[in-house]
Amino acid sequence: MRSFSRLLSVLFAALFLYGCAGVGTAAVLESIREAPGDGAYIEAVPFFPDHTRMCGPSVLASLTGFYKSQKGAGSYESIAKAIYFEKLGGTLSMDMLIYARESGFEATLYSGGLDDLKEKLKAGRPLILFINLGLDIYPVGHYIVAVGYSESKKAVIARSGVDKDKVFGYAELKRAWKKTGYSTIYITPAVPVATPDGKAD
Amino acid sequence: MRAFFLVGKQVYYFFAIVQTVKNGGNFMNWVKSWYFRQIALVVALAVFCITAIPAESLAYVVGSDPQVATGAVISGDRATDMERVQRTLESKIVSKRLTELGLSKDEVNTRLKSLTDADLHQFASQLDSLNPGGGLVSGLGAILIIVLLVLILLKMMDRKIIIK
Repeated sequence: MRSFSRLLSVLFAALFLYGCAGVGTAAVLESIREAPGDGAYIEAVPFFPDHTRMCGPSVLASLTGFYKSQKGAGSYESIAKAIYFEKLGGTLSMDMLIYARESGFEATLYSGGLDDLKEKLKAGRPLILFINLGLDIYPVGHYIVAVGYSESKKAVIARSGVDKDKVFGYAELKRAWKKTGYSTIYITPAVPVATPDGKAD
Repeated sequence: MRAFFLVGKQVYYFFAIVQTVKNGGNFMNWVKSWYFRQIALVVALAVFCITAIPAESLAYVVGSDPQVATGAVISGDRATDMERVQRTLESKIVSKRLTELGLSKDEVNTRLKSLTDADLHQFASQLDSLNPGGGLVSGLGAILIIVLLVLILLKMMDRKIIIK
């Protein structure tokens, strides 16, 4: 009975923690502010909170919204209507690529990694990461937009679900990201435009 | 005139056979008749043609280079041929995975046509990237709830789970 109660409490704690958000966010952001050379944070990336299964449209709207001077970038609703696949209860990464290209962006899917992620973030370019929060045999695909990282805290900050600045430890992120082969979507305007941070694309 | 004669002959044979069967004639004689053989030949040819069409008609993208598009003579360039074979295979792998996920043939074909060679290569080498994303809440929540239910069920059955 005691063992059973202990197991139940562990599971309820897991459920509770699952709902929690932003653990350590302030500390990570603080570390980036204190030592800008030790990390990066792209604050101007818009956030579209999602508590359903719309993480695909949500992250794509964040990216297209970031390059808002780009013509053809649709609203969150129009993106959701175009790429959310009701039958699958989610969004296919290939639909995100196709939609982005048809909207005037250059979009590439590739096998990325932490080094590439840091390099892009340093250059002021947010990336969409496709991670698997489930198991290999029971995948739970989830899209996040990486917007920052802190080398000292060994953490990545991302727009994820209902969290504007969700913190993923390097190890935690790698575990989930590895299951999708480090799937990364890089979207930039086909025609160079100035990003909100003033950097020309 | 000749056509009219041939059609007439067919009609004559048909009614002759019908009459034979009606009068209790030998069935084997009817089977061996010239008219029956003609029908059998036509049916056999039709079956051959129908079965020759592949059941699966997914549009595997073979090649996008102008030579293939225009149907021009294919060069003996080994590298080009290998690329074409690779693209076909990758297209097939991606199609199969998307079909397994529940997409219809039309939905698969529409997407394949919009992808570049590089995309196809990437998806074929990272099949896990083809899974849909969006099951965050329901997926993890469902797993935990299922585990809880299983544990409660085990408890009701007086089974013990010991964590050391």
